[in-house]
Amino acid sequence: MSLRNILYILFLRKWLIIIPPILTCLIAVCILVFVQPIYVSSLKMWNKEMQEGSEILQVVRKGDQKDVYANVQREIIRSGIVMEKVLDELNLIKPPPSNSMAARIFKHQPKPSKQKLNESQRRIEALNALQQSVEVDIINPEVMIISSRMNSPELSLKVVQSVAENYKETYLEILNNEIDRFEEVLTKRLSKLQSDLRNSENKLQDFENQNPDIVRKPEFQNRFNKLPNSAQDSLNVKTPLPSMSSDMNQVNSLTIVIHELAKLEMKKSKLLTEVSENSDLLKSVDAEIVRNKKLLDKNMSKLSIQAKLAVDYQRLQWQVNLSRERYTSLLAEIDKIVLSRGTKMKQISGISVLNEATAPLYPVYPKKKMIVIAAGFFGILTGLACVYLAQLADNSFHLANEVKDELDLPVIGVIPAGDLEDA
Amino acid sequence: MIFNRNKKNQYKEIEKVLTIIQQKLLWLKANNQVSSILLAGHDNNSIEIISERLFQKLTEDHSQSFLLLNLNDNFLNPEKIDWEHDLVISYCNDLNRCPGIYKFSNYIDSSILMIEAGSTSRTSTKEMVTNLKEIKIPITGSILHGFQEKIPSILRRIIG
Repeated sequence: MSLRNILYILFLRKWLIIIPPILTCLIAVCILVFVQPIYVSSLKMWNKEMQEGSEILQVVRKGDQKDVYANVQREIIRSGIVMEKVLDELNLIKPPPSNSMAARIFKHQPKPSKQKLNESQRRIEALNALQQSVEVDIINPEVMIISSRMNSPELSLKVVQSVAENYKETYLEILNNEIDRFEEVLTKRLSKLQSDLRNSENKLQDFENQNPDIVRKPEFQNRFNKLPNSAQDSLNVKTPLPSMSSDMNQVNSLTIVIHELAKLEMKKSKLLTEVSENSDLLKSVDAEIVRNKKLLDKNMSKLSIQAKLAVDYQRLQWQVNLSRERYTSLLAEIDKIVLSRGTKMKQISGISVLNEATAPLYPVYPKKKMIVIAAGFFGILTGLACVYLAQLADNSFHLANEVKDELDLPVIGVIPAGDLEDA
Repeated sequence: MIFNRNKKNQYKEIEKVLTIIQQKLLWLKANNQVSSILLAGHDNNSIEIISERLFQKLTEDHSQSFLLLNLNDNFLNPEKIDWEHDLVISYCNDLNRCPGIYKFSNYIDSSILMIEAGSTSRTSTKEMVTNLKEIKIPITGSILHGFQEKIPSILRRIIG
């Protein structure tokens, strides 16, 4: 079929092409009149990374978009706690008034849904709707964009501002609660350590009172006041003098074992704060402790009473030192945690808004022009499809060419349509 | 092809087409190819008017003798008709429903199909062609009637 014929057929069926786009455009306009517009207001926040004094509170930052800290911030922002505060602050339990074109033109609000909901159900529904309307985009681990989608520019601005403020407040609460919990646990542990230390000191004192001869020996004076820092330290124990008795030599050998035991105990107590109780590392340390204890007990049985007392005295001294060391380090940790309150406050004040939220001038949805154009385009396509179908279904002649081709007859003339009566 | 936008011009155009048909008929007659012709339509209401108008024009413009026969009338008897006219023009509105045509088949030299554009189905037109072949009436050509005349000038320039 030539272009001329196609154009002629299109002209013949012009209404099939003209009416569908008009209809689809009209339908689109009718729908748009009742559609709620969506306005998006957003602000950019900078959550500066703070170096934490306490190791317990320190969060390891990855530095990419999968950064756990950044993702946790997002979840906090979209959490029920923050959303509930926003809900109450802006009184959003009741759905906001319709801002559709129809509602604005006719100044008439659509009737609320007939579904009967009680107060708590309405609250849950409003909370879900609010959560869905708030988006958090992580630009990088420190910069986030909070945006809210509402049916009016003013409301979207209020929501995004309220979310940001309540996020800061809630985040500080969460951090303080965390510090409180740690402080409580560590304080309990500290009081236990304090009583352990007191017991150890009392035991040492009793031993010294009961065995003044052992205490007076110069080789036991100030010998174990300092705990070894490493295995090397434990091996660096002064070798006994040649003048020492064989018992004393054995005592000194056992001192190395006690060093090792003390070192292992310290390692265990440190590991307990870092790894789970079932970790392989902790199990291996426990096994090492048991092995050393067995070694100690085995060798103890071979010692004279005097030497045993000397070893016991060393052991008591070590226990006191160990308890003192633990107590001091825990006290230092508690101090750090207490200091963390200040760091956290600083962290919250370090959350700054890079781009203030503003009331959007235009809605992001619906894109009226685009929708009407798309509807018109769809209508034209529908019209063309209708023309094609109509042409397929049409079994009549329209063009002289068709007569020539189908009947193989010359066309003598073509008489236009019209009232021949008057001609 | 001839098109027009307004009614006044449309009449002129119809007249022009009728003149062309008229000239064609006279040319056929002059060449001794035709002395009686059938304008055959299928469910075509305009054929009667076109035939009468043609006859009127021929009579007005030429001093020869013409005869117009309405074959829709089944009681028409070919033996009682004076075939000595210079040109006999017969017509029937619906050839597929015109039993009288069989009586006239031996008297008609040629035929012209009147096809209503956008209305007459191809099937019935083909049936009409078959019927004419069966009764051995040669087909000279066709006239397409009902062509849309109100075509915008721009489109008219494109499509001819």
